[in-house]
Amino acid sequence: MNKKNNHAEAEVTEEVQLIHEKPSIGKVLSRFSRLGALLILCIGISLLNQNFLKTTNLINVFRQAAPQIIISLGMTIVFLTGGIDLSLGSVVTLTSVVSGYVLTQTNLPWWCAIIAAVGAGALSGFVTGQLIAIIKLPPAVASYGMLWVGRGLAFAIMGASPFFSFPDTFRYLGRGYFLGIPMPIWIVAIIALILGWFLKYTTLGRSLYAIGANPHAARASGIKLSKTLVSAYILSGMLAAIGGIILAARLNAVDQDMGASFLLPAIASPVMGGTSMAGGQGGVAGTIIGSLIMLVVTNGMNLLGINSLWQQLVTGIVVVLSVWLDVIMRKRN
Amino acid sequence: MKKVRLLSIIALVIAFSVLVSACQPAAEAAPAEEAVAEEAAPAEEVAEEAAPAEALTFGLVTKALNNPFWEMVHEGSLEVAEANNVELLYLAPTKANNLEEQTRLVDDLIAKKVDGIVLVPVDSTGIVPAIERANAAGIPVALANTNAGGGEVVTFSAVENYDAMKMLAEYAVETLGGKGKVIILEGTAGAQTAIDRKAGVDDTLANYPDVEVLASQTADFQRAQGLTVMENLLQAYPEIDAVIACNDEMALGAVEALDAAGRLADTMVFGFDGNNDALKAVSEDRMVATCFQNPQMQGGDAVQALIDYIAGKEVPARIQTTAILVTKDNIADFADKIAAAE
Repeated sequence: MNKKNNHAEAEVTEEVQLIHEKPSIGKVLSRFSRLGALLILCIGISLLNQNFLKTTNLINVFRQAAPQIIISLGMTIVFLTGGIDLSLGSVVTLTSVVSGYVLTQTNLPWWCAIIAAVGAGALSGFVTGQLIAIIKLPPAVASYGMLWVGRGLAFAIMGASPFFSFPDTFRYLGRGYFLGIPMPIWIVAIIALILGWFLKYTTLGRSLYAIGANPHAARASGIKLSKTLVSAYILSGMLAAIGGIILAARLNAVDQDMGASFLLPAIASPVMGGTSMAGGQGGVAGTIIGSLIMLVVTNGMNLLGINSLWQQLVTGIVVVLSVWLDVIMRKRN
Repeated sequence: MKKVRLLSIIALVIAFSVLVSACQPAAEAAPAEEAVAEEAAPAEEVAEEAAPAEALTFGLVTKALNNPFWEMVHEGSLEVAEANNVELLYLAPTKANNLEEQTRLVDDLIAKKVDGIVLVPVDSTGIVPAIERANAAGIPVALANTNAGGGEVVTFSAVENYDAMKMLAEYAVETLGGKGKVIILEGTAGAQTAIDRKAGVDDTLANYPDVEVLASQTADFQRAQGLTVMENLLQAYPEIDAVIACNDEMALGAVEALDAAGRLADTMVFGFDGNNDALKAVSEDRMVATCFQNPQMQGGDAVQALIDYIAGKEVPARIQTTAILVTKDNIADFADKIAAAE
């Protein structure tokens, strides 16, 4: 039994390898089309305002993008399996509230806050994953339920007054520098590298693609469907927690609804970066580019002083255009 | 395999019930508070004078649950209700500023046949049908904080956003010495409060040609947005003398951005609302001033107006809550609120 499984697993990894490492010109082109879209956007803005291309501003945009990139990477993993995690926004709120609680209401050292927050994120992802894998709820429904559970818990922990004024050791994660580069950027870089390696070179990482591309084939070839699914949601919950921690450290406060505004950008960024919501396709680099596009647009609008009434419209157009570009490049394939 | 599945289902059910029970206290906190209030109030009443024939029940509906500002409106309302032997049911959308949910809450109160409703509309236009249904059911409605575009209401109790913001902006110009480079952080694009406050700032600054507005950008009334937008603006403007934010959340976000960039000493930050942590920031010289909206009074006055109206007394159609400019000079008056924030 076991031997057979191993054999089948080897087969499937080969298959996944075929899907992902086939060097087609179209694939390369479409990958560069995303980077191209980001570059065109940057060139456009820098022509209109000289402040944009300054190193300090580019670092500023990257630092701002950090929480959104990390949360979007969590969504990317879930998308790969063909699922969706609508609870990510409220997991961000819950985990940052948990860290705020540990920092301000207890005498525990700052790193306990991080462990507690990441633990809460993992637990929330575990429950979501179980609801989907074992009870067989559709991912959207299970995670929508967890959205409310997360919010409710955050409310229960915090009550009506927000937590603020955190110790400098904790705030260093949001506003400190290491070798001249802001900490949030280091954290994004490390997570992106680990995640990129994990998705490409580990059995579990490849299984995520396999169950998204074709769950029946994946199961037939010996991949444990429910275990893989649950791992995906645990990972996304933990990533949301890290995003929440950076956000709390940057803001020096947590409030009751701070994660809510991250959910839709976290859905849009992977899609803008070429990750398929149907599963089996996508990756780390695209999601980072997708998130950066959104943050560059906000930054550009602030620098250019675009009227507040037009900002939402501009953001919407850029999101739609960049996904459209992606679709065109893929059809050409 | 089957055993494992069964076990995980059991584990899940347990986990879920723990989660649900953990949620319970928050959901029931408000009614419990009311119950205490109810018990306490009659005793006082008997001691004072003969109680009215029947105790009244009012409903209070705000824009969001667990929000410090609306919690203060609730506190103020509860205080007046308690003192008058009125039972107060407090309801608010669990999803902040959700009109659909707020409409349902008002309908619930109508179905319960409460004696009066104090309402803080999420949306001035969208709430009108609900107010009209209350009118049709003969239930008097008093508005607090935010006005409505229609329906019959007993009174509207609030700070005049435009006037209060003008007061704050005048003070900002005065502190600047009549000249300087200013950034305005606006509220949610299109929201009435945001429009009124921005107009207050714009109209004031228009009188001072030496005050240059570098940028006027929205940060959606949110702290995280205030941080991001301010970080971006810091890139574009090497010299900023003051930031006037249309609420405290955005002001505090801007303070964080300025502080991280080492520019808080060069830039004065002004906010609006008088939230506890903003008052604390004023006391610590991180913010220069804010405008205390007196949310307790907004709620309390609305409840009092309903009581008077039901008793057949004359009630003014507009109750103007006095906004208080909070600066270093009078911050000592708010020591209890700052202590509560700790």
